[in-house]
Amino acid sequence: MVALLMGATVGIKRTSFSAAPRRGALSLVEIAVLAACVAAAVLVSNRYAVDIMIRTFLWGGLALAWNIAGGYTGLISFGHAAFFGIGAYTSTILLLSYGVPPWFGLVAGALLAAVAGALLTTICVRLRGPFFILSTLAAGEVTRIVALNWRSLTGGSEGLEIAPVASVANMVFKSQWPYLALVLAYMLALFALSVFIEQTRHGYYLFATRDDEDGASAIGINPRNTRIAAMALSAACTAVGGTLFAQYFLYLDPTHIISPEISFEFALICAVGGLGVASGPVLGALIIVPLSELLRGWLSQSVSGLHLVIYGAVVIIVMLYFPSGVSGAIARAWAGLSRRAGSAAMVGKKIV
Amino acid sequence: MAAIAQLVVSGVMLGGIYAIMSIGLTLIFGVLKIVNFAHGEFLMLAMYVAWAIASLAGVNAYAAMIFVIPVLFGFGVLVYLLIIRSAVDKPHLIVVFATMGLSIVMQNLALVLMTADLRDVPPLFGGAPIRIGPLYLRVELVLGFLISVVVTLALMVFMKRSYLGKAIRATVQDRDAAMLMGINVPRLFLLTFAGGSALVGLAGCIMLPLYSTFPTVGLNFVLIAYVVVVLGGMGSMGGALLGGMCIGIVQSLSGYYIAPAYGQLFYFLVFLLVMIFRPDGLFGQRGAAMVGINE
Repeated sequence: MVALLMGATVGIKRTSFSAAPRRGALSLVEIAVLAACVAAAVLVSNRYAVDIMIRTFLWGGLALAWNIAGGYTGLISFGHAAFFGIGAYTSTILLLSYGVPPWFGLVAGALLAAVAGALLTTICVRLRGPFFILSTLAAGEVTRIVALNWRSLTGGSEGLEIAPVASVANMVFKSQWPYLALVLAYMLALFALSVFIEQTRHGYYLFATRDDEDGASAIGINPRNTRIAAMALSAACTAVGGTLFAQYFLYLDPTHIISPEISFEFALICAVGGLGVASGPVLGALIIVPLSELLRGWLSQSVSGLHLVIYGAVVIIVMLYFPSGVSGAIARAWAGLSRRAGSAAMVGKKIV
Repeated sequence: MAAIAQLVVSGVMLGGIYAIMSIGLTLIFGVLKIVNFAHGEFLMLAMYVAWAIASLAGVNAYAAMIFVIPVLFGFGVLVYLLIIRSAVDKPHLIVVFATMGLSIVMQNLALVLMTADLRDVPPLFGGAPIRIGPLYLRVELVLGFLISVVVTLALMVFMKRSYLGKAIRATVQDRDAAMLMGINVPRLFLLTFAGGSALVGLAGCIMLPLYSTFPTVGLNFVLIAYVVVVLGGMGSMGGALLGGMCIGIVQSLSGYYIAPAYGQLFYFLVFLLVMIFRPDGLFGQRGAAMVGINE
């Protein structure tokens, strides 16, 4: 009753709606989803479908990378396109100007992005809520404008092009399947990293810093360093995705790569799938990316832009009615089923 | 010397326009403690409605205000009831993502309905500038500036003197106490949100003669609005006015002396510097940036 009364007043402090650390190994749902991804990658050979899968897995991996900062640590960033761009441009510039294979350029991009992420978080570490969000947005824009005007390095608005000559050393392939394997490996690696974070001591530091900074400091966690480390890791992982993007599409220009829209997309995939759980970004990407690609394919002949209207509407509906995302909704439904099946273990256990 | 005077004065005038465009955002933030990420699309809607009326009825954009402001007020009520109301007392991320979804919907609906064509209205008085001493200024810029300053000052007096203004300030200070004093806080939220979007309607009418209208016009301006609002201090109207003028001057000076492309770079750098050294802005509530709002 008291809780009901409190809930009726406006604006009282609520705890985060992001999920708590995981207990135990992978759930059946997670295993099923990942197995389905691998099976689809192995079995499907239609060119259009494979292209959608490549985009889905790449975006799934990028959303998992965003989730390390945004979901686990509560550092909501709308500037991750900057790290994405740093990764894409570093490996591409190293390849075009110095002949360095992207396999190494990828590492260089990740390191550079980690430094940028750490720097940004050091600057903004005291800011909370919308103030942090807007600062990351501004940082992303600064990166875009610099990239756009530093013509000698980035080619400015004309962009950079990687020659479409198949070569394993240059990470350029003739067929689609090596790309599919690469992005699937990228997504699975980030999923494994996320599960690892959810189970280790340092991962718990992230959750503690996100949910209660004072409490975290009281038990000896340094919230500042925790935030910086989480953002650096997230930025580095995002940069790797940037390199993969550059190698698949073979063309980069600042307006499209470092746009706020790209940053919003990483965040929205996580929000739809569920923040702060490893399955969230994967589910989000599996829903959002094919949905918008297929809708684009079906609707673009008649009216361009309509697919994004539907996309935006999906985001609003999920946010208002399933605030813990699709993964939260699945977890609740699963718990309901288990309860009905008479499994006493789940009764009363906090799910979300 | 004349060049500097010209640049500073047009920068200040531009800043007045940036202020009126940001003031709805800062009002909504101050009271509801939320950032409306669809603010830019509200502006886009206002500009389209103003354009439609100006070209259909053959009146100028300023006369269209009489119609555009109520339309945006009504739109604000609608958005509040459908989206904001159920999200406002939840963690701030819900509002962030829900309004972002709304911005995607509005932007692309505009693309579907209005196509990507640029919409313009003919300039006033054949586009002849007015001359004040050694300065030449666009009529629309001067008019927009005067309206912005008058409206901002009137709003500040309104907040200080009227009952509604006092109720709003009380709610800003302490929501729960205001409610206990008999202020209908949910209704106040509705009025503030709708009022904030009505102000965007006003801004749209002022900006239509100065800029082309297209579906993504909001994104450029909303980024400026964020900078203005943070610079002035979130929730502060006088701050928005001064913040807008700072940004206007920075933009016009750096655009002339360095390069237009770097104008944007400079105001984002100003933004980051303010965030590092004075995160509450020049006139904001102390500590707001550190505590975080409605987490």
